[in-house]
Amino acid sequence: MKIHPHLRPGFNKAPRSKSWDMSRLPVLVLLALACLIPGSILEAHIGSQNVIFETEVGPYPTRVTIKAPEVVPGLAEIFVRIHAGKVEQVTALPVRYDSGRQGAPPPDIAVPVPGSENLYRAELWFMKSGAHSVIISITGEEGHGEVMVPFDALATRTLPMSRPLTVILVIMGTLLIALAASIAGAAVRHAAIPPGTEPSTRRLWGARFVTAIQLFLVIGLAYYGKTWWDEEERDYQNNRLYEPMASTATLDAQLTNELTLEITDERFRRGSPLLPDHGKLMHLFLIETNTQAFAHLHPKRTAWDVFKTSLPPLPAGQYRVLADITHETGFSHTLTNLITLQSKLPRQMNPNDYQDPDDSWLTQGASQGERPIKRMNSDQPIREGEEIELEFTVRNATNDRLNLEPYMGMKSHLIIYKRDGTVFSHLHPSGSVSMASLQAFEARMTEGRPQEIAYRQMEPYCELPSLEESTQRWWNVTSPQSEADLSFPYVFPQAGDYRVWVQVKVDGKVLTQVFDIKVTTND
Amino acid sequence: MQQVRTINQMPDEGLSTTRLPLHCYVVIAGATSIILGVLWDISWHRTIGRDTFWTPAHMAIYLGGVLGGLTCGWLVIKNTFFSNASSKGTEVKLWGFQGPLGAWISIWGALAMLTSAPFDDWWHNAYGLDVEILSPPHIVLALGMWAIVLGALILVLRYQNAQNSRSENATRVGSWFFLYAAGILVAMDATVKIEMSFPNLQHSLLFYQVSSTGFPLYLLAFSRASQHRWAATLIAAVYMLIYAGMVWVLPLFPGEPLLGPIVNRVDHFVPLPFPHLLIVPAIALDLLRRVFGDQASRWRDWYRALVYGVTFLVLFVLVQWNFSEFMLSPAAENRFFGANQHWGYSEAQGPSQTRFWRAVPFDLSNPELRKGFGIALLLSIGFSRLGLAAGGWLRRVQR
Repeated sequence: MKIHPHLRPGFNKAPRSKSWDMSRLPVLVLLALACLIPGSILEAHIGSQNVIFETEVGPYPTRVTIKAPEVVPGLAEIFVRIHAGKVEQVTALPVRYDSGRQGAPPPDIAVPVPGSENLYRAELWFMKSGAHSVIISITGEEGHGEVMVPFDALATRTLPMSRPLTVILVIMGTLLIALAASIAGAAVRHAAIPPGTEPSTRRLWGARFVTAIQLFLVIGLAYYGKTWWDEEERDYQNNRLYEPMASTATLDAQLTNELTLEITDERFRRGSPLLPDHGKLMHLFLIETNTQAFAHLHPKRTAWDVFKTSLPPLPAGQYRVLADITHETGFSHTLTNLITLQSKLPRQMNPNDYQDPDDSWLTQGASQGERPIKRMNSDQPIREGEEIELEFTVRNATNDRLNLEPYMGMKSHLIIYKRDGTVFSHLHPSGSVSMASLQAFEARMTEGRPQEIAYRQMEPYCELPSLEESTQRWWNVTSPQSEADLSFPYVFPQAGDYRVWVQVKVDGKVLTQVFDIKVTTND
Repeated sequence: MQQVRTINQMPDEGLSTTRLPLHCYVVIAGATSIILGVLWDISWHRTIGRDTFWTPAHMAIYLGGVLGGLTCGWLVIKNTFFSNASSKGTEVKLWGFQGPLGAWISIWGALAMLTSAPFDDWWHNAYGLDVEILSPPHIVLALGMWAIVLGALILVLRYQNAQNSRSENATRVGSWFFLYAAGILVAMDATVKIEMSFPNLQHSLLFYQVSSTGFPLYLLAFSRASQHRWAATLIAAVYMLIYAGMVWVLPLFPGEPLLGPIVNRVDHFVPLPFPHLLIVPAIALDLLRRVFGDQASRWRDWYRALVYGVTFLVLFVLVQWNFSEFMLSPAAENRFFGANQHWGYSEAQGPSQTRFWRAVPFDLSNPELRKGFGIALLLSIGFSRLGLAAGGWLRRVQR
């Protein structure tokens, strides 16, 4: 494992300022409760919208990290680390799915990060929510290269006001109200009488009256302002803050191993068609709430908004259902649900068999059974917000390297899950980008595919490359800094206890192995 | 009866001077910087999009705030601590300090502008960069800028009101500055309402309702306070020249969007639309003021407000209803009117650009139209009355 401490401490940390506004208390309580309810955890790649992508940009092996804005319109930070080559210029360009390059501004020139060799940084504005792609261009002695990095811009943060700012605004607000009332009174008292004269008693009383009226008016104005602010807050919470799509997960009453996932959200019904991500329309993960069992399934679509799968023989318990899907726009997100298996499921399948040949599962703990996948450098500490590589090697009992085969086009899959359920991510050696999203952007922007999106259509306009082509492209993508069989770049967004499942395919069989990782704070 | 003293008897050096003091020029320059900065900044957001604390347009706004705030702060300190005993009691006293009324208002404005800065910064962090003009922190900023300009107007007003042969020059210059500052306030009022005032919205009832508030208020208040016979006309002309000047000048400068998505690839700075033809109702108001007189009278002012309010709205509707049709026609697509030529980078070009939005047909039998214009009429009369009252008081301002 290698750690790149260039990213400043606190990368992706939530703001720690304290709440101040009592009127927001109910909202905050609801949000806190929402975090405790497993089915309501937020966003795709739950817990972090950041993207990390290991790729080749022309002749330059490169890693791109996008630190997502937490509000939209907002500013994202782009880090480009070039592993090898002499670079002259790095640029970053944000492109929204529906406007393409012709709707993009001139690219921003990334500047070298002081103290880090071949690391460049740029800041990009994202003005609208939704699927984007950041086009990274690198020019240097070895030539020119360009890559797209798909990225979803979403408002995910509720920001309370810090106490010092609250105090400043309360003091200034009080001063402005008092001064406005006093100026009105003083104007009546003195402004319209000749210099050198004193106001009459009647005028003095008039001034007091006007002061009171003005005070009333200004306080009324401030109250109106607060009401307006509250309306904006409600609009943000209800319409602009990203809300995961609503869905239901149910088990068939008779065929207890048939799981139906229905996407009930109106946005899905109005939305664009789904694209297969390395061959599958949906990657559904079942994770037992105590992380004692895991399944990686691929439900079959039986209607526009209905997916069915046959569950493997999992033990009884409560399971979190996490389903990754990618739309034709390039928007990739995770549906979340909760189901309870009353008893251990039978091995035999039901008559409507929805099992997929690439389904896999694991019911063993971290130290049980044969363990051909070994984690390297596991003794090195991992801190939140630091860019790292999780490295593994795959060996047989005699310590010989095993030949890996493509598992859904990829060399390996890594599922990261924080034990409290607040972080979930599905990675490959190339990082956390959605391959389907990337392919959709590339198809539209470089292969002349139709720019428009097939809203409410079952079939997308955008035809993706075949799984074989995709496999060829991704098979050898790995960090050149790593000599391990498998290397996954990642930034853990929070400190805590994590469980990760590594999946590879050897001799036609999927091997799934679980590891525990402790991530410490940066303090 | 209050004792009336001539300017020669006044101990205040500033008022008894033959020339307008330097601080009046400075605060008027500050007011100019604010309105130009605001219009430039709106153009910046529609042309380039991306901005920082340090854009030239922001600098112009800050400069206006600093010129107004510091000058007026200095005036208050000077009058409180460094004036001679004879000048005590010549200014407006407040919280143990004393200074001209205009200075107090400008100081309030500078404090409001200062307060809006951290509030606006937090707002952007909490809800995202706002892409519209109207938001609570922007209103605090707008109130601050408005107060700075109003303060400048009242600072010069007292020189106009202090009529005396010795101060003839100061009175004359002060009276022109007063009209100029009034025109800036009208331009600021039009800017705050710009999201409801594009030519495409001038067949909507909301446009006439919002226009029936600030315009009659400002035109009547400042024309009554002014010494010029054509004061309302001149104030409207200042507003129109500021806006039209932007239409003529801003497009001369190249500009390129630095934010996406770009739906309209502009290559020059995009101004706001050509101004309303406010000069037409303003001329009518000036003529009516001659007929009905300007002497403040509580009951006669109600009658005047009724006449002025109705006249303003009828003329404003007749002019803008037709002028907006012209503005949406190919005949206005030229350098002078700038119609359909200056859309921002995020405003898609298309047929809707030359159509009316939220339009209501001009059919007086339509209850919606009657109700909408009825509300506008009540607002116009009510704000005319307020304007007359404010103008009557402004005529008496001496400190």
